[in-house]
Amino acid sequence: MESVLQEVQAMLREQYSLTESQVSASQTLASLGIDSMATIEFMYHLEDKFSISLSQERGKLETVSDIAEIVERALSEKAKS
Amino acid sequence: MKRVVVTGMGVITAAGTGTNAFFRNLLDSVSGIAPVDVPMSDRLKIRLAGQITDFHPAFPKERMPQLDRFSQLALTAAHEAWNQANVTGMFDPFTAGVYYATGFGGSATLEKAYTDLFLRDSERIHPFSVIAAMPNAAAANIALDFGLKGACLTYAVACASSAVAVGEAYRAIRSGTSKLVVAGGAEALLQFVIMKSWESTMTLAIEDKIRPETSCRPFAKDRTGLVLGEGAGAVVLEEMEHAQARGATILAEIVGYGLSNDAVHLSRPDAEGQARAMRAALSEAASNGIKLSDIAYLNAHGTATVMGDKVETESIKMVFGERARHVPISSTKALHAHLLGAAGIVEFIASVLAMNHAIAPPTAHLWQADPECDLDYIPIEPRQLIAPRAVMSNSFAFGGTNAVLIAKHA
Repeated sequence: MESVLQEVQAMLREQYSLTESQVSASQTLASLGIDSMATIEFMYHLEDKFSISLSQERGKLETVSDIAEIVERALSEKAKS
Repeated sequence: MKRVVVTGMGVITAAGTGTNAFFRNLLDSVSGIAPVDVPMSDRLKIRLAGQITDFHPAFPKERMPQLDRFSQLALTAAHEAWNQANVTGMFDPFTAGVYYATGFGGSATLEKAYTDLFLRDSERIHPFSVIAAMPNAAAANIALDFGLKGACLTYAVACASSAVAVGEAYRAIRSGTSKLVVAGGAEALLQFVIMKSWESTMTLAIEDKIRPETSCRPFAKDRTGLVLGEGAGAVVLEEMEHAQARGATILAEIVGYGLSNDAVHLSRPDAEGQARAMRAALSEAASNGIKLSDIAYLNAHGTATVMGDKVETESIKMVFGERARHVPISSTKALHAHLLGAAGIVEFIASVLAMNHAIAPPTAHLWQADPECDLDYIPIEPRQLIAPRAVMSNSFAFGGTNAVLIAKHA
């Protein structure tokens, strides 16, 4: 089964026409041309994809792995409730 | 005082995209009015609208969610104007600005948000809804595209909005605070909720079942009301020496702007208030060498409401006196419909085109004259103008604001 990180990476590749190597976990979103507004839009799509809510999320969002982490956090919150 | 010139114009309406197609359609009485096709329009009692059906926006995919339709229309008009003005990088961005207008702003985005929340039980809406719906979105996007870092303002004065935007831009350049401005307005209000709201005002034209495209009949005895339309217009205005220094082609010079408010009634037009705005514009034009007798064409507000056209006829008589019957006047709303926040700019552009081509567009569908609207309303056929020196455009708004622009030949 794909990890959350892998799924996030696949979404990034598809949405922003990026290559596998570009979306490595430590890559910053800014270096991929994904600005703060695009990040917010991407999170909106993540909510759909994982059936989670990120509207209360205020964590650091600089790298690809940061995104995967907040998704994992939201998924575990969902599992608890 | 600085002199203010027009160096670029752009327009998109149901009666034509681009100034050339637009003006040709006005001369040929090609109507953009038809039954509207929007979600839930089957529940409208009055379905007529000036809807742009051949619009294929070419913005990058990732930008689209940020652009409400009114911003898309605004950018389309602004880019045409900017290209015509042929503004290169040689301008000071800090004295360059945007004076734009809208009546309803990003209403399509709002309607979608309400629909998602109330009808589809969605728990959230698209994160760009705020920046897409905000009324200053169109102006901000124009500033962004051209790198204009001075004033970026949005005027909401109902049907006079974009005439006010042009007038205030003219004042800013005249006083020296701006050198280069993109001015105009955009409206994309053809949504179920807004059309239903207008339906309740009982001011909308009743559909002619045989020829729906002719349902808007300004100044005609058989007029029944206005038709709502969407669209946008933009002009590039410059301080004259700024335009000359870069070798720009000057299309016209703005020489008069008159502004008044009736303060009588929220929606009922007032001839005295309209006359004050026309007189103020003419008085300013006089100081720029344009006399009342130089007005070769007047683009009327002419919405085709029963009362509005009668009151405008009165106010024109009050201002022009004996000369009133000798000024060719038309309302082009019969063809492009009433664009509310974009009406003033689209009609100002029509006026400048009439002057520059020495031919005035007719009032289409004016087959039956109304004895109470007894001025030269250029019925049906366009009118050749002989060496026109200046033109005037009237815009009157709900809320009582009256804005009048006068342009003279370059």
